[in-house]
Amino acid sequence: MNMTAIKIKGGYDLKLSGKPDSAVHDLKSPKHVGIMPPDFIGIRPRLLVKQGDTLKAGTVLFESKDDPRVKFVSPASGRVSAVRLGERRRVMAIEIETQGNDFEDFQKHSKDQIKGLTRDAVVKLLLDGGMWPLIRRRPYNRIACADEKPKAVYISGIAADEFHPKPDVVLKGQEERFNTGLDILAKFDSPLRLCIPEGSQDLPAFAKHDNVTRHVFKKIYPAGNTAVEIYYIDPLAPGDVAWHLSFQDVLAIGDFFMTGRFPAERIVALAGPGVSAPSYYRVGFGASIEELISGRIAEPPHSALSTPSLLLRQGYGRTRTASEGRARLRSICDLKGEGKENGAQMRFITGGALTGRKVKPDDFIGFYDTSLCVMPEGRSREFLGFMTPGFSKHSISRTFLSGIFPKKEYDFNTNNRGSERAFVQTGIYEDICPVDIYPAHLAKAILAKDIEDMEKHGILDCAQCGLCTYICPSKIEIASIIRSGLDIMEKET
Amino acid sequence: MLRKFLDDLKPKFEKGGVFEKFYPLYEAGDTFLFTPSTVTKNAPHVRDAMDIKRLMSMVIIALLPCIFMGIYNTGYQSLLARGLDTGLIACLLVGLKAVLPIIIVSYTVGGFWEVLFSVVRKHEINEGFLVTGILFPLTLPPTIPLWMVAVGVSFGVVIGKEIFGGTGYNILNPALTARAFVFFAYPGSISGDKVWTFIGCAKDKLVDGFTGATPLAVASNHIGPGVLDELGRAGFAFKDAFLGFIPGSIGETSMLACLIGALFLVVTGIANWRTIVSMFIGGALMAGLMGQMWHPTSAGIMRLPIEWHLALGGFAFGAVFMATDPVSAPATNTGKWIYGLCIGVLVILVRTVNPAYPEGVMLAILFMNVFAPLIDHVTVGAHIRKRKNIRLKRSQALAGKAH
Repeated sequence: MNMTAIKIKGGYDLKLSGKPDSAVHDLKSPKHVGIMPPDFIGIRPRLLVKQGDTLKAGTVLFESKDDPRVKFVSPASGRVSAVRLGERRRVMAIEIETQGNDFEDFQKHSKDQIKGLTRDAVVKLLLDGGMWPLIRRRPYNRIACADEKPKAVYISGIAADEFHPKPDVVLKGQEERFNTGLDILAKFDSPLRLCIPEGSQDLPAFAKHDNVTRHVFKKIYPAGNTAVEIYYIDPLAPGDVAWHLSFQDVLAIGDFFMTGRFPAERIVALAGPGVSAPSYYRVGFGASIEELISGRIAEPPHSALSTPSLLLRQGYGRTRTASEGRARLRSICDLKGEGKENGAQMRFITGGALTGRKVKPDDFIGFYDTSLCVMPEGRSREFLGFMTPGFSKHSISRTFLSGIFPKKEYDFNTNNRGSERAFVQTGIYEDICPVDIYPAHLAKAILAKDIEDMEKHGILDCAQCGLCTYICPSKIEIASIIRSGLDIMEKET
Repeated sequence: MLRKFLDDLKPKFEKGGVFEKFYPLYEAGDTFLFTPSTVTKNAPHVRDAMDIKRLMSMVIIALLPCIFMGIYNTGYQSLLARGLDTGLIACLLVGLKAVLPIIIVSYTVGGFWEVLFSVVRKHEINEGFLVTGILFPLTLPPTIPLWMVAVGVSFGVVIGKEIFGGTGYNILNPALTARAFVFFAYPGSISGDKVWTFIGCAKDKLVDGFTGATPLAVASNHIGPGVLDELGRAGFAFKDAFLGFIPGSIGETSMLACLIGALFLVVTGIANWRTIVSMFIGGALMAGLMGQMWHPTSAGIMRLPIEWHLALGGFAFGAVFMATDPVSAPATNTGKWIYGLCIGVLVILVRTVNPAYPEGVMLAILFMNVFAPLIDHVTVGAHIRKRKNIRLKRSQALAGKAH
């Protein structure tokens, strides 16, 4: 048990405005929930339901074609209102209209019963209950293989970034569930490593626990990223596999074993420069984004020449009717605009601002995500913008006055902040990378499709934290290049 | 309404438009006046505000003290040589008369090549040229014929940069490549004693004792000890060298102006301080060494004190603005230390040991530019080994704790 806090190299806390306060609000039962198969990298779904089918919470929606034991279940009871297909009939989302409160009953377990469970029994229960997908493996971030023995199982007890729900809020009063989850994970007979932020050693949920090693990290983005945690504790050699979950996933597993039902609750943060009152919300898996944001989005900038600092966070009325709300949203977010991206004025990101996926309001919170970040699209064009003193323009360099007179937070938008050029600056990428990678060199190795070189440069250690791409003054899409590099690596090895 | 004007103009430059080929020109002007409206496509969804335009603009700002001092000093040296009054305005006017045409030719001719390559290769005009276009004139004597400026900048931009792929791909520093071309092709116009003072047609109206030699030339020609006295006789005190009131290339005479530029570049995070510091350290070490190795018949320059070496011959200018070019320098921090140290050592070596070249900065930097990839190869290899060792070290530490 190593209790001196680990300080990661590089890293950076982006001070985005719209940080959530720590209150947790209960959201009324959602009318729609959904599961999006693209959340599960590499899974080819075999659909087992069709439009109109009635479901209970826990009914299997689809299973993995490559390993039919791995099942994906409905998070709520109701009926399948739509199955959305994308290119080449790929299942993009299964939309469920909620009705009633029916659960598929799996087995409840008491503390003693859990003590008696074997590894194989635990695996089968997780698979059948649709809980197995919560366990992912590194490298490549796919769902864990039920038959393999990982080098270790990592639990990140650190919020992924400043917006994600903090463990001290989420785990308050949830010690029993959390500990149950830990006990279940200990059954896999691999070292169980819990990574916690400095200062939270006294949290009851993070107290010393059998079979669990705790590792303390100084809080700085991306210390909450499992890949970073693995790199500092026990880096993976080629061929090694580690499993990982977030602390909310562990809660969910504990809940499942204690109640015998698919867990009904997650805490999700709604935050960002586009949100009028950023906060935490208690929702279920696959919550509808539209319902979460209804009435909570700030007025986006209208004028073509307005700058982000003019964005005012005005909530617009609590007593809006549902249809008024949808009409308002439609006008802001181009709800029906498939592909008509230029109309949208707000961007919705499930996950973090540096790591997450773009979604539309009629999508759902990702299976693994516990944060929805909303920010204005930054299409306005500023006159002689590159010459302004820039008090409100965030830069890690000090080429703007924001570097000499830093603000507490910045109203970010999605503007690319420049056109793409060749690599010019050196050293800045290496200084910020938390896992000792030379990002520019790695990118070049990937573009050259040199697999040996990619591996030597540590592509498998890459946490995909997005920082190198964030700071790049040449606006090179390093993160995209690394994603394609990982695809190449996965295919070849 | 400027925005509307540009938006209306755009179709003429897009596919099917009349000026389709010249889209890079439209894009350069359009994005100069207004920030682009492109948004990020996927993660990360936000980006740092600094882009290459801003970076290059900051370098130009850092160059302003050198540009100002260059203009002022050119006028000052000219008026001094003619025995005329050296008031501020008079100096600036004469200086501008000499320097402005050189700058205009450099930007125009170089810019022509940049636009041509952008149009032919169908990519946006790169901002790197904004810096090369002003750096090159600052390395030239004020009497340089304008046609040589044109030829030189063409060589520098085309051979020094564009044939490798443009900004970001060059192995050599383009401004120094341009200067090297002029230096070897037209040595009489860029070296010797006659070129450093802008006399123009006043060849007969010079004061007695005017030689036009730079302090380095004076030191180099002097034999034996007493080099500082010799410099004093020629009218050069250290203060002159530090502030920049000596004959030399337009922008490099003032060490103070270069240091102000260095401070600006390092504080804003644009230039890597390691290159600058290591070059000064390398130069100082070598100058100290040379000072010990002299014998009575060696050139006086061998006994030139360290601070003189660092203030003369464009040493400071090269350290701050040329060696720090991130594209032609090694990428790793360790690499930059090695690189800067070698440049510093080489500069002094060339100056003291080689009688034909009282200056060595340009040659040393270009030489080390060629070695930068090798330095990188070694340092990146070391980094890769270090990563592997980190993995072994950490897993051993963990195994150790488990027992």
